[in-house]
Amino acid sequence: MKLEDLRQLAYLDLDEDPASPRYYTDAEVRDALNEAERFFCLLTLCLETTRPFALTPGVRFYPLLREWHDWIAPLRVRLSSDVAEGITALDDGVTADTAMPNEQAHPGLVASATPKLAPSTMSEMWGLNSDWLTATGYPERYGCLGFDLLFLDKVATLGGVKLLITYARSPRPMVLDTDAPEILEADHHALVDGAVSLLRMKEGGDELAGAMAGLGRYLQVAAKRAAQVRGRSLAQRYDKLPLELERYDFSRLLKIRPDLAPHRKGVPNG
Amino acid sequence: MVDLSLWLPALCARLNAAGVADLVFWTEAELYQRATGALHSLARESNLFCEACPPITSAEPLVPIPAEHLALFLVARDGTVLTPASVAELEALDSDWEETAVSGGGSVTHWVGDYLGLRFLRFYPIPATSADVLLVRACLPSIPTAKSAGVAIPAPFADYLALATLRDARAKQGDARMPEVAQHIDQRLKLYDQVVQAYWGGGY
Repeated sequence: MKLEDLRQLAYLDLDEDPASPRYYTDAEVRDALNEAERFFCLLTLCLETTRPFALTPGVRFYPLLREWHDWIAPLRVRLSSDVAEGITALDDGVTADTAMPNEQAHPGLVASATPKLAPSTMSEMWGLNSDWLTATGYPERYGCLGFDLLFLDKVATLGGVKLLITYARSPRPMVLDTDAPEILEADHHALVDGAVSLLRMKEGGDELAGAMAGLGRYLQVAAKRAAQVRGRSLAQRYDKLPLELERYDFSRLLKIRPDLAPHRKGVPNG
Repeated sequence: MVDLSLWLPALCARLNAAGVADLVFWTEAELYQRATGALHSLARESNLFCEACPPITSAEPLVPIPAEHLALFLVARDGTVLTPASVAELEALDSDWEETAVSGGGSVTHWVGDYLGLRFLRFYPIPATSADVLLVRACLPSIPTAKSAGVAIPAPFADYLALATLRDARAKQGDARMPEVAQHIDQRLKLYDQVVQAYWGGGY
């Protein structure tokens, strides 16, 4: 489905005329759909990408969000068997492997026999080698502090050593009417439910309460997708797994003002 | 980097305003202050903003810690990782630890984080020469303002900041107060907190 189709569905759920909406603008609905897709991807880690990352000789710590704005969390890190120099981390996946002017084989580089890096904490690296902060060579372990600070157990001494980092990413925002969400088509309807629950926040009260059923459906779809992604990630021995949403108690999220007494039939409000 | 100013139109719409100029009960500066509060809360609770500080060269036993500091993960001197210790542990190790200096080809072995409040770390034994000190730490991110709204966070967490700002705005006493919206958003933010624990609470 395209953004235009999703927006039409959202207008219908909001009881608006899609041809001439009165209370919501196209930009509002588009922003809510994008937000619903971003949250869906955060909950399920369903979008992933692999990019080459050239290591700088002597550097052990790398803040990755400054390189890749769609970064969420690392899934797998391995050494690239590409021994050419010059490929840098480019933002555009389409041109990521474009030959750079200095792309040629580095005489000292060889492909590593153990390319996959194991996730480790600093304590583990210290336990394995008390001098790890001065260790050089091909890295065998990596860690990630906070959102994005990647660190390695050994630093490269030659230029041209590259990592292939597979990471969970956030989706590209939909801008044009012809843009489509990046998540699977089967989950597109859930985005409408998620977006409507966000849009109803400006009204609150009964309108927001009425959107909770849709939010519940959105979260159910996310839970099922997260379970599927978790199974795949376990099979692939990824280092991060999606949240176990089916274990989360949504009852307080889906009930507006749970502190108020429930409305009873035949009793006038107020 | 996420530019928080791009989130303002959607936030204003949810506050029933056409734009920043149309806000009646809040100001743009107030929204940024509330976003900063949410950002700091996120940083403080889960140590999500980490950095390897550029090495500083020092021969002093005391190193001042910047105000935006939250927690230390690693302290190294000349490439050697130092062992963290408390004052009580060093007193048990060496009754004169505050005066003990490096001697006979030895080197600094420990760092102390609970000496002289929260703004200093101290080395043991007292170093004899200057050396590069590396700190890997969790810290507060830069404060977003209308003029400089970039923050290094994953894109979904810009939505978290917008939601937290909306919650605070709707919980504020006044004619635009919507307690049920504030309460609902609070529950949404708790789901984000679960995500943070699941993805970034594991220590690496």
